[in-house]
Amino acid sequence: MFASIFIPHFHVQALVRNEPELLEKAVAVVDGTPPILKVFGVNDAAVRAGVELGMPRLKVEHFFAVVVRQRSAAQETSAHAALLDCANAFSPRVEDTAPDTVVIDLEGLERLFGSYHQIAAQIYDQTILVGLQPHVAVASNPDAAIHAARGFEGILVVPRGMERERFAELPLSVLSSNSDFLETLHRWGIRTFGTFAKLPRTKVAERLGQEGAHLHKLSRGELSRPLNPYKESLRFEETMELDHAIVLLEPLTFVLSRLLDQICRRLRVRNRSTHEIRVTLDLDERGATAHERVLRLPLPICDPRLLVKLLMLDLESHPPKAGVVRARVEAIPTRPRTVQNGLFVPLAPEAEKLELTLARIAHVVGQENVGYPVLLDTNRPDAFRVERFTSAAPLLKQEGWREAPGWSLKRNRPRLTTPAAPLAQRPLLSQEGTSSNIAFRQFRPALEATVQLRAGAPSWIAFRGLFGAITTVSGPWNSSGDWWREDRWDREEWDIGIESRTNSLAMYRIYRDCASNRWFVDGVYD
Amino acid sequence: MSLRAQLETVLGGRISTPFTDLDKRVRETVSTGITAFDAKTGGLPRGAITEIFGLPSTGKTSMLLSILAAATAREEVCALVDSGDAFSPESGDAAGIDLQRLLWVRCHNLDHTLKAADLLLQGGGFGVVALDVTDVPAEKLQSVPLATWFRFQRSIEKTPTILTIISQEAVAKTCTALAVKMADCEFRIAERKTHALPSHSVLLTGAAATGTVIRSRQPIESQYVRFHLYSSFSRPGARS
Repeated sequence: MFASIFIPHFHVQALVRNEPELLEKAVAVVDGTPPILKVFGVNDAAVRAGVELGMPRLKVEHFFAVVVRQRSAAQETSAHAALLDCANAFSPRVEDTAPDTVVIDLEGLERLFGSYHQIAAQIYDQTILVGLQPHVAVASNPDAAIHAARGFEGILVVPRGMERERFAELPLSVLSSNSDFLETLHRWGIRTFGTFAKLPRTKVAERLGQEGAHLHKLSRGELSRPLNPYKESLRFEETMELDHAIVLLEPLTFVLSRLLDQICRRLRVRNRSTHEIRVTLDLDERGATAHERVLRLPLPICDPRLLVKLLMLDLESHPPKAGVVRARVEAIPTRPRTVQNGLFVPLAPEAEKLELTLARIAHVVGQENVGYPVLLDTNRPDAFRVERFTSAAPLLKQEGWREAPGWSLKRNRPRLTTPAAPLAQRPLLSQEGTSSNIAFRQFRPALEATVQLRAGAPSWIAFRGLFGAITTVSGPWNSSGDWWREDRWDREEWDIGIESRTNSLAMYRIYRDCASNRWFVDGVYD
Repeated sequence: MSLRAQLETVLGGRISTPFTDLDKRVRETVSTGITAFDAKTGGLPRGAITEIFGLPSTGKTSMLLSILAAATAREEVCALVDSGDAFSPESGDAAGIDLQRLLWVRCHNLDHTLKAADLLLQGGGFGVVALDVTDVPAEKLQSVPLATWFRFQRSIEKTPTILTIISQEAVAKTCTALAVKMADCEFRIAERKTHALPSHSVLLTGAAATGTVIRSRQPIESQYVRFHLYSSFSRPGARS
């Protein structure tokens, strides 16, 4: 058995899908080369209002309450992709028959989805979910399924052998779009499948040739052909063309929200999430290149609200330079994230929530100022880079983690910096308590200082409004490196103590830059 | 029988202390990583603000790094909002912080610092959120409305998150569950050519820090805590 999904008024539905407020309105889609624009597609409400195919746009605009929209090839492509996604959610054997029609092979699906009626109902619901109003029909061969879907509204299951009886009242326009063929039959007084099927096969072949014989077989629902499955390519892309340019970000939020909503529905249908969103905004400015942004996510996400927030935070930081006339969003699919919850899982932020928090903070302080520090394998002072922060769960999946005995996961990371002094070298602990580590607070950039020397050691210092005699001094520590690079360093470090106004000792690390012979305060021990 | 007693009888067994204020309940505490401090104060209360303040070189940053190291050792995810971009990753690594579990937000003014802290606390899920406002001038800090600190307190009071603030002067005042004033750090410095190691390899060898508990909502054994700090800044790769 085969199921067919047909989208009536496809050109209109492709547009209405991204503008749900038009769902109950009469809509006419026009196409052509301006200024000669003619009606290309209409919905039932527009037909009832009197709009006909081929009518000029100027004439249609006189109809009160008929919304006129320009045909959008990009939105039709998106709607067609969504239709294929629906079909692929049920079976891998899908025929891409036409932009508005697909056929699914239902062989063996009863065990998974139930009876043919139940399968058809589920296909119907799934298609509604991606924003399209379908006709769904199940029949014994692909062509019978297509005709049933095109001819009957809602859900229909045609039992095997009952095709001729059920199709008897269908108009011949469902069978073929060939106007010559239809006109010939019309002159003969044949207007339905039933009357055409009653004609003798040999006589039809004599008068109408091979094509007539083929259509005659189709009208009886007897022609059985193998399905022609299409090769699936997972591409989730949605486009919206705008009649008027959007200048402000707030209205753009609604556009992107609709596109992402559709994409997430399609992703869910295919049991996928996304880890990368690509946005292309065509600008209303001659010669301007499209504004492109790529949102890379550290974890698979399929929540449209979260994606919209992340995208808008990114666009607020990098706004388009002109009004937007076309928005295209593409999601790169990936497998959804699976999380093993447990009672004793250590405290960590919820991954999706953390991502939003990080984006908001990055919007305030800058992307480069948020992350976790990674020490570099060098002796250069204060050498680190800031990496993108993720919650603990994704970290476990990264390379470098291994499962240690006893169910604990530890990172197999070489220690790049000097480790804390071995216990034997640590000062003996008194009864007063365990020792901890002296922390160092870095001044970025280092503060330039005026230093006076006595017997080769610093004896007086002034920097940032502070000055005074150095009461304690230890050093020097000479270090240099990267002499072959422009940013080489060569310095002489000292640890010094200065008495503050409150007579407490403050310990600083200072250094002399040997190349410039200038003194700097590197930071304070605290 | 009063209405209160009736309700307590009805709710008894399900809600242990229905009329007890949150502040008066016994809070879960966690280790700071400094045994002496934990022994005398009971550790840091969860769902509350802890403030550590003192002048430069009094050991407050050392204590903060120890708190973060202990939290990351418990596999908790922590955040450090650094108002002066003063955190030294090398120092943090030496203190034992698992840097991959530390979200470091480098701010350059007080507004950004408070906004970032607010977002982190609202986001939730962090074991420790550390707010380092040491380098912010005192007058600016004092101009922060008390409502800000109350909002921070309300954000975390029903969560296991600990908000730790380090500064030169007390800022959160009544909003804190634990306030420690650091003072009188005694440093030990290696004199030239007197240390067993090469003279340049260890300059600062250690220190003894002293803290005074100014405010605590939980019973403490002693108001004064003294603990030792050792130096891990032994410089590698000596140049003779």
